[in-house]
Amino acid sequence: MINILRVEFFRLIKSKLFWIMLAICFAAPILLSLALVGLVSLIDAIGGTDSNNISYLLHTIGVTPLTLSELPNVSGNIFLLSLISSSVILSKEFTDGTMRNAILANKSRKQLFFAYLIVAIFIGIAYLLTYFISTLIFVLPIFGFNDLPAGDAATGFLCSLALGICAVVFVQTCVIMFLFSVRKQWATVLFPILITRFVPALFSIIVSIITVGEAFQGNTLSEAFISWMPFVNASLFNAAAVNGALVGKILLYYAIFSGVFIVSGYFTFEKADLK
Amino acid sequence: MADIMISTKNLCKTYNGKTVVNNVSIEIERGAIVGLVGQNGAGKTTLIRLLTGLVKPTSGTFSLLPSQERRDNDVAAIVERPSIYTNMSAMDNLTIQSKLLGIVVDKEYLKSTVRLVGLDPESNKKVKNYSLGMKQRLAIAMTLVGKPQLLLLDEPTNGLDPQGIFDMREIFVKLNKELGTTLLVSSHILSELSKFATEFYIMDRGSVLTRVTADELQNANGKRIRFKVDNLEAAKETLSQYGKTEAVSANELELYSETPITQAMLSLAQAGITVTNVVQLGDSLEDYYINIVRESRNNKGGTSL
Repeated sequence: MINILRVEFFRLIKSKLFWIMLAICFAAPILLSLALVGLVSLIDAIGGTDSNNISYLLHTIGVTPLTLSELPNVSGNIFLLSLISSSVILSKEFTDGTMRNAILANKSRKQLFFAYLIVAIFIGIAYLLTYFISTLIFVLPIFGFNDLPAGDAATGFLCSLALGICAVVFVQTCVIMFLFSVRKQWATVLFPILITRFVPALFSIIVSIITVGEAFQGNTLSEAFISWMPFVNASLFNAAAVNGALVGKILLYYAIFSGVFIVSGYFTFEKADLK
Repeated sequence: MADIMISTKNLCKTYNGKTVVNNVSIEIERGAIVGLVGQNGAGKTTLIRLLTGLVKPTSGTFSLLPSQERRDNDVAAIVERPSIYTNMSAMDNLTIQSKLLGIVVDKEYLKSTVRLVGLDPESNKKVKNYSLGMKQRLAIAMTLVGKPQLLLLDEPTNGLDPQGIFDMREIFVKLNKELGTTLLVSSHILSELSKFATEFYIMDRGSVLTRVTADELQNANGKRIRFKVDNLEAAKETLSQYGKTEAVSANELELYSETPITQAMLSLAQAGITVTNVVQLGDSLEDYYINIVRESRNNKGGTSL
């Protein structure tokens, strides 16, 4: 497996797409900070509103926790970038037929599957960490962390990072499942995008329908109920007020779904005839 | 006891109920250059794909290098199309292959391998801009990186020009002679295959019909010389002293003999027979193949060739 990893990391280093996407992940928090600072300056220049109030508002809303609270959400743009990057780079092995070289080199399908999974997760975590570090450098010093004590802020950071890594694993196992079961580039790109975009949206719609139904009966849908709804529960996560039970439920769902993706992708590939 | 490099036992592959490889049992010894002969759909490519592990057998077993522990670089193959990274240079492709095989990336050796197949190792041109022939050359270079003991080649000269075909044949023979590499080569170009293969497996409709060595093939067919003459009967009588003759048209006959052409021509001239054309028919593999397949199909009552 080590040799497959050496090959894939060599390819990754040579891939322009990987570096472009990584640069975007680094630039996104910078652009966010610049846009917000620019907005405050603009309002200040116009003189319509007290810029201190705007600054205070942005500070209170909590730009940093809001940014970090998005990390467990698989519909986030950061996951879209990592999904596209890994699926395009890795599926090239099937479109170029170079996957055969590994099989000819006596590598088992198990080694291939798990080596690719490791590379895909590496790509996702590299993007996530880049985004996370860039947020720490360019967002946190400007907007703060809701004046929370250092311990709470650290918990918020770590939990959002841990959940973000779980979301990466979910997204990348999904990519790998389609890569090894369909073995076509378009499917490896398209289907994970559809799953990460539409499945959470579908669960949100279900929750909305139930909420409306309950409202007609004069009831309110409890947060505890929503916290059990996969994907929707990720939107409840707040990095500034970490709820341990919620974090556990989010982790549980991502672990279950990732496991299903791994098992189905691996066993399909194990039996498949390759071109 | 012979050192077996490939051994298959009742190997079968079925796609949607259609058997494409049917009970194939073969054994290939170390150092052989084996030609796999058969028309399209005979099962050659599927057999090679089975041996490479790309497809799973429906039934039966096979083993590569059964008498030794197989290392990553012991077996190499080209199956149908070149397996190369199109957005990289030739040298990058060979570097990747070295990494995959777990061997030290020796730039000088890789450069010499690229040169050996007639490509420029200093060129940074991406492979996607290569012609089909250049891609095929690179694919062959990729197989050479690990100095394999066994090389499986499915139509390796596809897309190559005559010079390329000649060069590749030279490389294969050199590999066989110098490194003792065993080669299994499938090809449609039987005349090309017959120039370097030492034995042949003839396949039709998924089955191996027969195995024949180059020497056996030579003995089975003998050599033929075709003459175009002005007096067929007189020519037949004159040439009968050298071997069997057979009229193939009103003014053409074939002589089955090892006799040099010049000697036969001299006899005809001395008999006052004018010869307007003479051809040495050397493509005995093709004739042998046609006969074997035709015979097999007649026995099975199927469609003839």
